[in-house]
Amino acid sequence: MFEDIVGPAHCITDPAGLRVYECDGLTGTRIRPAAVVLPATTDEVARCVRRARECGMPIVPRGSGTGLSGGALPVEGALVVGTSRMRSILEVDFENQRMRVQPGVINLDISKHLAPFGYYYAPDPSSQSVCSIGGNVAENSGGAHCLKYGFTVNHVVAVTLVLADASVVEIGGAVADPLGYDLASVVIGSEGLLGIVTEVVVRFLRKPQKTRTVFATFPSTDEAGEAVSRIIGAGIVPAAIEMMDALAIEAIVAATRVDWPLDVGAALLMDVDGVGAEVDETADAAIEIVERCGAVEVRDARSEAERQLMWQGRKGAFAAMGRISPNYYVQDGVIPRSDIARVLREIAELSRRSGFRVANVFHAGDGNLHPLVLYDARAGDEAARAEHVASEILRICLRYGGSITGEHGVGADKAAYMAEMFGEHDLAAMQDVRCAFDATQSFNPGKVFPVPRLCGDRAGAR
Amino acid sequence: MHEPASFEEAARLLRELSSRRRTIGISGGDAPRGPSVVPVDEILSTRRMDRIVEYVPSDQIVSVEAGMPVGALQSHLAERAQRLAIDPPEAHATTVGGMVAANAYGPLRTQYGTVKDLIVGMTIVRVDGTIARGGGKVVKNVAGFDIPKLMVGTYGTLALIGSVTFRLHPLPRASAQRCVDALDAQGVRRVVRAMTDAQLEPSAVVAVLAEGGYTLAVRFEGFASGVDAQCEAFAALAHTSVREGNVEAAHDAARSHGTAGFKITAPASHLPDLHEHVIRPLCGALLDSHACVYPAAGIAFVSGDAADVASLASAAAAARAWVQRRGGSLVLERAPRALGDAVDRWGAPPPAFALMRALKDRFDPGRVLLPGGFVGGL
Repeated sequence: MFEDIVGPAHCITDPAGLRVYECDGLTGTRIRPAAVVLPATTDEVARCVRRARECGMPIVPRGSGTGLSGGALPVEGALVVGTSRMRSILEVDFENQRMRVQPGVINLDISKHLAPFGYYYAPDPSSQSVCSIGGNVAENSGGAHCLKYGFTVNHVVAVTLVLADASVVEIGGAVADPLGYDLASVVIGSEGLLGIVTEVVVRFLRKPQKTRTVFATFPSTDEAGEAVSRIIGAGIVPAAIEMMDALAIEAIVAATRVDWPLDVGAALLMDVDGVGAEVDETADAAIEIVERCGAVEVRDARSEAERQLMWQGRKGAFAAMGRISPNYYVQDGVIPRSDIARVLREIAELSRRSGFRVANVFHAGDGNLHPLVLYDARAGDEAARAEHVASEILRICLRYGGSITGEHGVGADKAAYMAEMFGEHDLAAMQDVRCAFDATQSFNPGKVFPVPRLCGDRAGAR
Repeated sequence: MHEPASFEEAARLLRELSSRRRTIGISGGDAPRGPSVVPVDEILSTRRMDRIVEYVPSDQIVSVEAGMPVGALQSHLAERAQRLAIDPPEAHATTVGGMVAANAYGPLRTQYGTVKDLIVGMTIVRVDGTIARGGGKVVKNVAGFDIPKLMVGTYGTLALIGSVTFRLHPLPRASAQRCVDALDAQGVRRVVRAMTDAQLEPSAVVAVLAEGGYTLAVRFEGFASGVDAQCEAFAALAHTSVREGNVEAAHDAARSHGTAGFKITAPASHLPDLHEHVIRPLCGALLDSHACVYPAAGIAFVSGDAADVASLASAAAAARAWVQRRGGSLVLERAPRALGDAVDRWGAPPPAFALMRALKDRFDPGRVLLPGGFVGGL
């Protein structure tokens, strides 16, 4: 039914072909969509949206399908609109450090394109070699280096958006301070509920003069957490500080080429970047702090190859879990940084009580935890019980005044917890934004919001 | 004038006034300022809501009520060697809420961006009398739509900003400022590009227009070793004499002096043409004119006293047409009534205007919040 728009080769309706699109990176839940289209242009996307609306089909946008919260999980009878054929870099403006790309362009390919000229695109989710910029916009993706450089919302200045009525609108602008309400700030991170992004304008940065990467091991996460607090307290703004606990180190060593020691309780991986002289001063200061906090061993990467290897270890952490467990459930809670040690102890206690191993690998600089609850899906009701443990971890984060998601998004997975983090009026404000964009709620229904509500309904006293 | 002391009181007032169809202007002081000046029935001042709600230095997070002056907040943070890295003009008189509502910023924008880059949470009070929170008190958070960022730059046309939570930065251990005088606009652009090429990371870059051309002022901050190295590198790349000093007075004059003030945006690469086609003619149409440029961001401010309103209006219209063709905008930040009547304060509504109107309809269905005060008559 969409063949005339995208061509028969790019319209998938056969069960075997649809299977690929039954889930995203959250593989535990699968729903077969009615059809998948892979349009190549903004116009094709708009025509697909119009036809889907005429047929009453819900529309689920999809990038590379690497999301971990089920944001691209289909709903019954849905049309999935994939952006995997929209992979062109449309325009690069070095003078103003702006680049216009199609949404299917892979995150890392932006930086690869810019590298010969000495520039890069800052947000670097661990999946950056496969995730798409359109997906990054939907999720407001972060990455290890957002501690210093911010998230997708700080680096995407404009998008082209196809709305539910199939109209095409430019949001934001390549020039500073676009007039009117800052719609880009709310479209970025809207998880596909407001429209389909068909072009993205990113701002890119000059590479820093120097980057130093330091790896340090500690007897336990307590000392590592203390080191993070003291480094930040010393006025240093590292580009990234990542923490891994013993279980995470074990998995990473098994799965990658890193030669990290196995007899430690925690490790930190830190980047300091910027002007050469300052990088040396602050990295040296950070090393001194790390040593004073009781580091077992400190490694100061001597070459770019050594740096890259350290980061490959960190970025491959989730995938590495396969070496120590058949399945894992990844959580994405955020806590105030100064509570890291306390929260890790609570998670350890929860792990002991529940009998589930929990590996921790996370962005320590901004308190964004990624506890990985390890389980075996073949063993009885382990999957459900592991999910329960993961949900308890989120409740711990909320108890400390944190968030249920730092970068993976709410999606289908965490919609139920939105009502635990936000009150009725808070959600009503978000619902008002949604209704302003899409009163029909055709885009990605069932995601983000805990309870379906029509756009005519108003919460609270009016 | 209404001066609620709490969110609950503000909520009752907003619900009561809006149910009587009274139009409302929200202000940190006595009256709304900036381009959104339209007559309103009632003024709601946030000045009594001026507490620090929560400050956790170790987390580098502060929550503050809207009525606190930015300057007072900065003094408080400085005691713990921290700052909010936004430096709007007249910080002692600008409230946090006003800064957020107007998306105000200063030269630190060069390195730290704007309010949207540092805001992590907000409490808003809506016309229906509900109080809604958005975001949170952690730096990283993607749960739900980002209501706090959406409220930045809305001039009190969607809701009352009750409190704001910001990410903070350490106060720099060392800081130095360097100036280069008598540059033409091409020269300003050249030095700014040369800094990028040399991978320097200035925290602030501003050029002010003086008698003999532009004075470019650059601030380097951080640790002493980096500041020294950058000053040295800057002297080498400037290809002309570099002196210590700053341009704060001239910058502040260009931002706030006189009865008329324009904010102009254009692609940063167009600076030389922007000077010829926009800045120079506008200065020529003003008495006692001042101009400054944020050359890395592509923003210019021109101010002065409006003498002949007709010629200033035609200069503004021509300047606006020029920047709009290049994707930019010209906003009358301050204008005497006659000028405001002759030239739309905001200019042509942006492409996504229908969505903005829909948003206004959802947040302020009775159109009581500063009706007609924003872009396109929102």
